[in-house]
Amino acid sequence: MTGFIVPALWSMIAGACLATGAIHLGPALKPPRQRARLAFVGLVASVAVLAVLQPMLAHAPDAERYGALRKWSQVPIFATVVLVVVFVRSYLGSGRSWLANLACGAAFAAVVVAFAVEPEELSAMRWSAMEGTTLVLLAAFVADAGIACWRNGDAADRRRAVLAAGSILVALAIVALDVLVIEAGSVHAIYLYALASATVLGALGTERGTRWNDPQQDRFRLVLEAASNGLMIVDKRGRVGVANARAARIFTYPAAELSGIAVEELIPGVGIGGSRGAALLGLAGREVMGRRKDGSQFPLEINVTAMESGDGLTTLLSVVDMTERRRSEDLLRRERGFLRQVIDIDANLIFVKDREGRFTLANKALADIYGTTVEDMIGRTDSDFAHDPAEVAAFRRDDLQVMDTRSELFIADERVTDSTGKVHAVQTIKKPLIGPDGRVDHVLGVATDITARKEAERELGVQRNEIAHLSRAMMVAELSGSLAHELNQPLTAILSNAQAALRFLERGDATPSDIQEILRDIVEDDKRAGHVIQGMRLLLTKGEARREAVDLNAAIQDILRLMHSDLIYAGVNVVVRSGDIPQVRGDRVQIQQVVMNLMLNGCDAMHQLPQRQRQLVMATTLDGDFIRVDVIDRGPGVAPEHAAKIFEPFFTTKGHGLGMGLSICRTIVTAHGGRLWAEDHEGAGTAFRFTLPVLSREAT
Amino acid sequence: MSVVCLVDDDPSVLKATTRLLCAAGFEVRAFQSAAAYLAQCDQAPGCLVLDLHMPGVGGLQLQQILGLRGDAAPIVFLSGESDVPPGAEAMNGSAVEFLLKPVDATALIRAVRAALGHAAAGVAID
Repeated sequence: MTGFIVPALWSMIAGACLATGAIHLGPALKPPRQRARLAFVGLVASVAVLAVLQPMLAHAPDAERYGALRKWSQVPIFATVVLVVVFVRSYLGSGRSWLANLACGAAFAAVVVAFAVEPEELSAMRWSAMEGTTLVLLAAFVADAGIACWRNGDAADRRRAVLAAGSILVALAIVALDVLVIEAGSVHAIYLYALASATVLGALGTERGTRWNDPQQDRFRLVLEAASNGLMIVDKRGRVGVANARAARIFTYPAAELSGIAVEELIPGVGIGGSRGAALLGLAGREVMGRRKDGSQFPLEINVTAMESGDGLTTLLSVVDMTERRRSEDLLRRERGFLRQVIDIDANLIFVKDREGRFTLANKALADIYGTTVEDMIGRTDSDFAHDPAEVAAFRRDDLQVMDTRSELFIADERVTDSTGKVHAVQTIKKPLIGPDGRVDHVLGVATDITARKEAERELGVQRNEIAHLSRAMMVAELSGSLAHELNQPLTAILSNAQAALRFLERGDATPSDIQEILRDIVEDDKRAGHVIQGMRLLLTKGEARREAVDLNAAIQDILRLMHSDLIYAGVNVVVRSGDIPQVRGDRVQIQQVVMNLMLNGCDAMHQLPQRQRQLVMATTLDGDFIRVDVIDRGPGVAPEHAAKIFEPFFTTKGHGLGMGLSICRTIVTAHGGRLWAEDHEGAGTAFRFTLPVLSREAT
Repeated sequence: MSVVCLVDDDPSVLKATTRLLCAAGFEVRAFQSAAAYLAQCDQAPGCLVLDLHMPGVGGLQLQQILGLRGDAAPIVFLSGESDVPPGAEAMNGSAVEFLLKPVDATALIRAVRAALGHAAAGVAID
């Protein structure tokens, strides 16, 4: 029976062991490395070898062959002991080193002895004593490791402790029994040993949910993988031991391949190839060039931590691929440069100041004004450059206001004196800059130099005044007939009164009250003449355009008085419809010029009409924020082909005149912020209308 | 003595001229417009002193109207302008004098006297 069963059983056990090993070998080799699983595979293999050797021992034909087999079997026994130690330590994460060393030492001593003694003495050796010592030490180690794991671990760890330590101890007990039985001379008991060992190993190997990783290593791995940097542990020979996936990615190696690679390969030229890990410490915080698998180089930031471990000094390298950062830094630098160019090319003065008034940004235009360089301005204040303390105080006040109120400020006109002493007029917008913490401690300003514009405006004003004066002179010329008449009337009255008085006195029948009355009339007429002169002088006064409150109705009445005779000569009946209107803001004389011009035009337009139809309507109305003045004649109207041109300079349909009147009127009205236009009036005549802004309440 | 009628739209001129002619001894009636004259004066005066330019009906127009009515009173025109309008003279054969404002008392009184004399002569001829 046994002659058939036993070989078959041994073959099955060996096959089962090898199959189990093969199942675990694949996963064991995949990263992350599972040391416990690898040890388990080795263990299974060595047990398989022992399972083959055992029946050979049992059936050894002679003592010499038996001795030789016994000698060689010490090697797998030693391997088994070592692998049990490795397995237990990595699987349970516990176990005393000295016990492990003793067990391994005993097994190794057996190997040494086995190969040292003469072959003829081998069969006579007391194997059981040596094997027993090894067994006891190993059992003690396993039991201690199991207890330690039970004590320190959680429920899962306890289960592992019972399963691993328990099954190994059971196997060791069976083996010890076997040794004793063999010692007693019964060879058949040997089957028990192999069977038990294989069963225990099988139980471990097929146990579902077995955690093959060392829990300590598990946690270590987790920490390693969670790190945002690439992490590599480099051993004292300068080779990569453990590395996380990020490190592998950085160097573009497959995750499993990084281990065992010399650091010199990854960080060339650092001269640490064969040196001690301590040399790596010199790299701390440095930026070096890393080399990818394909040989391409890239910037690498490296940090080094020394780690004292059982294997001597190892180092933890933390690496960061700087390619992206470099690239974004480059991009940032380029964008900065571009922005710099843009703000420097800008003719506006651009700056940012902090709460203390120090420039954190300034452009070339501003630096030019201050006669310095952009670099020189940063960190300094207006008072370091500006000539006029009053200007600096104004800038400072506005800056603080913008930052304190957190609102934009528009300064329509302020002064900046440049380094040559020239005063610039600038228009400035200041904005608060809100920081990431929500606080405002910077102010951004953009100032436009409006010196030239103001100069041009001033020149335009001068021109406008000149044109106004010219037009006034022209108007006075046109009015001269009327003015002469207006002067003539009081002069006539004065002369007649005076001569009448003389005659009364000559006749001797004049009473003093008669003479008094005459003299009073003379005074009145004289005053009247004086008013005419004054009005004419006012019209001819050359001066800057003024902005004052003007009562339009009164201004129109004045013009009507001046034009009284002209209107009589022209045979024009004027109808005035004065609305109840507020005052406007403007130059009274200029406005009167416009009114007079439009009235004269209206009179001219009705020249051909029978006298009774010559009616000119003057009306003032409030129209929103504007006062509208209408001057409506009953003339033939403006020919459609002329409608677009009547406001152009030098356009005239009259035989006389320069054609400047309406053009000047429009210039004046526009300068006042109003509008002047003409339209057909109910098919009979033309309405010239102009608007002037009402004097706003806050301007009064 | 015949009445002198005075028409001028300017009140102060009208008043002063009236005063002057009164001082010269004439009986004067003053009117501020042609319309007022036509409405209030139903019999022809010895002489008319008219302002040439007045709003509405002017001196020349009044002369035309009087001509149409058959009133042939001699007229002294007073004008602020030196140029005399054409066709203003010798309407209906009535004597016409043009005087420039401001008019001197002597010239005005002589013209009025002449006009009154002319009127008296005209009556005498009839």
